[in-house]
Amino acid sequence: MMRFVVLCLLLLPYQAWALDGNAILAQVDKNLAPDSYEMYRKLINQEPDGSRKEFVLYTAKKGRTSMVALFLSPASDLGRTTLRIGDNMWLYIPKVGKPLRITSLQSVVGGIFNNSDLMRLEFSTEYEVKDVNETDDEYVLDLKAKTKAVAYDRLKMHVNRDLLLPTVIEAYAASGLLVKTLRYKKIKDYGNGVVRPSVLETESPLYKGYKAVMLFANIVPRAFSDEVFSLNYMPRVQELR
Amino acid sequence: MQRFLIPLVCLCIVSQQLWAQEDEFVFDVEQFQPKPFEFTGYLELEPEYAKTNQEGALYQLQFLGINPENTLNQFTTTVELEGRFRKGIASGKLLAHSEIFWDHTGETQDHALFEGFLSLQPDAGLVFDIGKKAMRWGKGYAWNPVAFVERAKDAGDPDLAREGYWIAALDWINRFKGPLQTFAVTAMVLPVDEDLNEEFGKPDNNHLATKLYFLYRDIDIDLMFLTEGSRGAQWGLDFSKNLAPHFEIHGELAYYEDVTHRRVTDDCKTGKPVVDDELSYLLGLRYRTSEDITLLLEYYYNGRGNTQTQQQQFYRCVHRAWQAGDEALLNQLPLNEDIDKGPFSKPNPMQRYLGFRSWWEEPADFLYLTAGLQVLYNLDDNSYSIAPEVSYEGFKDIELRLRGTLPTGDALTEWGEKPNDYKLQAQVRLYF
Repeated sequence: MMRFVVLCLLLLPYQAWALDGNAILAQVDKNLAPDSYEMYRKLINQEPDGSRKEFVLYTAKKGRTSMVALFLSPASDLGRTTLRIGDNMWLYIPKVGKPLRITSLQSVVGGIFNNSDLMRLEFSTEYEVKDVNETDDEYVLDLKAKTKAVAYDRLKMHVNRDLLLPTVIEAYAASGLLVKTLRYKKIKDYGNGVVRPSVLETESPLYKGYKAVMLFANIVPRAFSDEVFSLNYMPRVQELR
Repeated sequence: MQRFLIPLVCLCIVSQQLWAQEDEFVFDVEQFQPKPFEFTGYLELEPEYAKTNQEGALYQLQFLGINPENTLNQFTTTVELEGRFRKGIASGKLLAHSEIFWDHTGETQDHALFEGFLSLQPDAGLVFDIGKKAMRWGKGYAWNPVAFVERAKDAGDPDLAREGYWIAALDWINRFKGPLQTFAVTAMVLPVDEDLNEEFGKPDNNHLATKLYFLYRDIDIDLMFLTEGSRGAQWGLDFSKNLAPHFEIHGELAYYEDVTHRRVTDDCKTGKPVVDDELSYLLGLRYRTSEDITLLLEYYYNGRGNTQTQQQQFYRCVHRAWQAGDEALLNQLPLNEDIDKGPFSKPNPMQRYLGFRSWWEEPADFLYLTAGLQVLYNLDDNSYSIAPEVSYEGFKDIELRLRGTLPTGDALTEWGEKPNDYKLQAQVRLYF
């Protein structure tokens, strides 16, 4: 009996950790990207007839609250910049010449991806784990948005148990409607200890037959000055590269 | 032989498809690496058709003494070229704008350097600029009473590129932890003489203009001023805040010293100007529905604008000159060579306006299509302009836009006296 109690006590911390959804989510965030980094992304909107529109962005992120993304392609969007500080989001369009406030559900690229997808900070910044289940291969986290400023009210995140990386995320509106499904694919070693999916495919029942894909490249840890994440700096973000 | 050949061909096709699928999404990031020199730009073609309003004072102002036109066809070709360079802490930008414009008067060309400046950035929080640069101050969409150092904006098409002024400026940014998240200072010297920034005002003056920006408790706040010189001193503030995730409020308040109000006398001559201090302000709301429809409503009080009485007197005098066929009468009025810059003929010359704009992105899931509607309403004389538009950005590096404008109003009102009954514009913009 005594050996059984000791065994239970020894296993308790592991069990508690294993089912601590917020700890799992924090580790997922940590595995997806360093705390402060830069990266390049290509977004592809594919229509049912196979035609595509592509965008390329340079992104810089610092800490849990600050991110800026600069459009490098197509030429018509060159220089467009989105900035996020906490729940605040702005868009700078060179021809307009000044930043304007935008919302997370808005889409600066059209199609399935919205600003929330492009400017996501960390899941654990925006969501709280309400429930966690486990299977042999994965954890399934039920996430609830911390504020109404977050684009999707609830996420169902499937996490690979071994790698602690997301595989599938279902995003739901407050009404319970499935808004989109995100699939992370092709694990890649980016160096500096960053091993994560290099492709994110997204489908939405609201856009039947359409597909949106995000390809990640050159994810590199980099320290940025806080001042980079400000309205005044937005017209100069390309000088970061 | 055929027995082997057909499966072999099928195998080749299938393997080619598999190979294609494997490489379905390719990202060659190297081609996006920064270069020391970068050139971009666009070519824009804009045909325009208008049915003239021959009763309108602004039509009569342009057509007195020349053959009348029932319709006006115009064609504008615009080329904008942008060049950037970077080396160490130095960078520079050149933005050249050229327009060739054909209408009933023939061909007109306009070439201008919109921007051309050198920047030095010793660190991310500090930058020095010298050269010609376009500043954009204010949070309003259609109007910006606090735009102290920029050229006039067309409320009917506020996103049009505008020429900058020659300045020397510094920008200093600081971020903090706490309720005050960001503080930034933009300070500049704007000289005016007969060959430099001459459109800004009276020559032989140097101005200091400063804008202080605060991000305080998720509110954007700007305080700005312009010292006295070619114009009277100007003071202003603006703000912008999200009241809810999809509901934004913004506003501007400006105080101008020594504003010159141009006058038209009862006998249709330029009267003695009245100089007074004035206040202007703007309050705006922007709401985005769950169907991706954005609604924007702005109220604008323009203290520098003309009273309805004075504006009506100007229109009466133009009509009098038209009926008499006497161009000399027109020459006695306060006009400007450019009709869009005249104190009584420029867009929105009066005092109280309401602006409404809505746009629906991807209506009925029509990808890259945006349908919009703009209404500008003159609350002084109850005239208005309605402008529906549709734009499409589905082709790579091509923007298509179709826009109609329908001015509506009685005689002696702003939009009743416009030169057109209606106007249709198509725009094709090719980026490179």
